[in-house]
Parts: sequence; C-alpha cells; structure tokens
Amino acid sequence: MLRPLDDADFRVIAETLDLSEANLSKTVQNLVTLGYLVTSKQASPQRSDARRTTSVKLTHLGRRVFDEHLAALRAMAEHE
Amino acid sequence: MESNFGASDALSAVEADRRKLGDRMTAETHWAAPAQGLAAALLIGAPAAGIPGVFLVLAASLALFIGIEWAFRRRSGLTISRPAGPRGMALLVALAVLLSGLSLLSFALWAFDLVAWIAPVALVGGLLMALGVRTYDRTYSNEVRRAR
Repeated sequence: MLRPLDDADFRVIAETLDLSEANLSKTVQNLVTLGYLVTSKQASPQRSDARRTTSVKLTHLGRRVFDEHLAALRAMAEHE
Repeated sequence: MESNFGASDALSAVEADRRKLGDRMTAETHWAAPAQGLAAALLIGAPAAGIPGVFLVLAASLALFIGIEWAFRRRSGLTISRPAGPRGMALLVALAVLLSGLSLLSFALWAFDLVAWIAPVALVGGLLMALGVRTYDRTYSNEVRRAR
C-alpha cells in the first residue's frame, strides 16, 4: 500500500488494510528495525487532545526490496 | 500442514489493498476536482482584475491550491506527490500545459485590451481543470491497483 505513496497515517493504514492497530504496530516496528520503513510523529488537527499522529513511509531500501519481492511473485505466478 | 496460498494469491492480495487505496483517493474527488477547477479559473482570470487586483486574485488562487492539498492530506491521511503510472503522468503534463497556456492567453488578452474575453477563457479553463482532475484521480485509482 505504501509503495505508490510518499507517506500515510498509521491510523489510515490500519483502517485501509483492516488490521488492528496493535498488529500493525508490531509489523511496522519490525520493518523499521529492518530499515524498510521510517515513522515520524507530528501534531494533528484531526485530534482534539494533545496526542500526535504517526506517519509511516517506505525507505529507499524498502522500496527496492518490495519491488524485488513483487517481481519474484510475478515470475512465480507465471509458472503456477 | 502445507499452505495453498501461492504467488497469484499474494498478487491478488496486493491488488485488493491497492484497490482500497485507490478508493480512498477517489473518495475526495467530489470536492477536490471542483475546488481545483475554481483555483485554476482564478489563476487564469486574474488579469481581468487589473492592477493591483491581479495580485490579490493570484494570491487567492495560490492559497486555494495549497488549502486543497492540505485538506486532501488531512481528510485522506495520504501524501501523494507523483502519478501511479504513465497515463497519470501524461495527464498531469497535459493539465500543466493547459493551465500555463490558458494563463498566458489570458495575459495576452489583457495586454491587447481584450479584457472581456478573459472571463470566458477562465470559465472554460476551470471546467477543463475540474474534469481533468476527476479523470486524473480515476486514472490514479486504476493504475495504482495493478500489481501484475
């Protein structure tokens, strides 16, 4: 989902992919550790309290690895 | 137990996620396309306001373009700065050429004292921009969902 985007709100990713925020948080943390994603927090007018929203973005490495993964899937699908 | 989930299923899952992304993008078209049409019409029609009014109208147009981008990000939660494919890129270039060409035409009309023609040009430009943005959003939605 992030591949065609500059970044996306964490909450929006969870909603769009129909994932719980807890599950998505673990996945995002793992991908951040691998260097595939970066997150940033900022104040948001969407929130009435002082909490901040989190944006998630693919890194250059993450883009490359995802593209390679997609290419491999396409190659495998051709032989299925 | 062996899983039957193959590469085709994985690609289908990616396409399903991308479809949701495309739907989120086009969900904003109903207000963003007319608003961008209005901003374009203001930009094209600015010379009709004369000096110094032209600067106020240009500032209003710029503020509207920036406001639309801000509102899109706030409502959709997405930041998008590039087309999803070649058709989207071609449309984006065509819209930029259209906007620049009609703006130059409008300034030429002002320079040749044909100010009465500026409003119709701005109206046509605004309508074309609104239709162009709507087409761009649909094209983005179609291009973004292709994983194969």
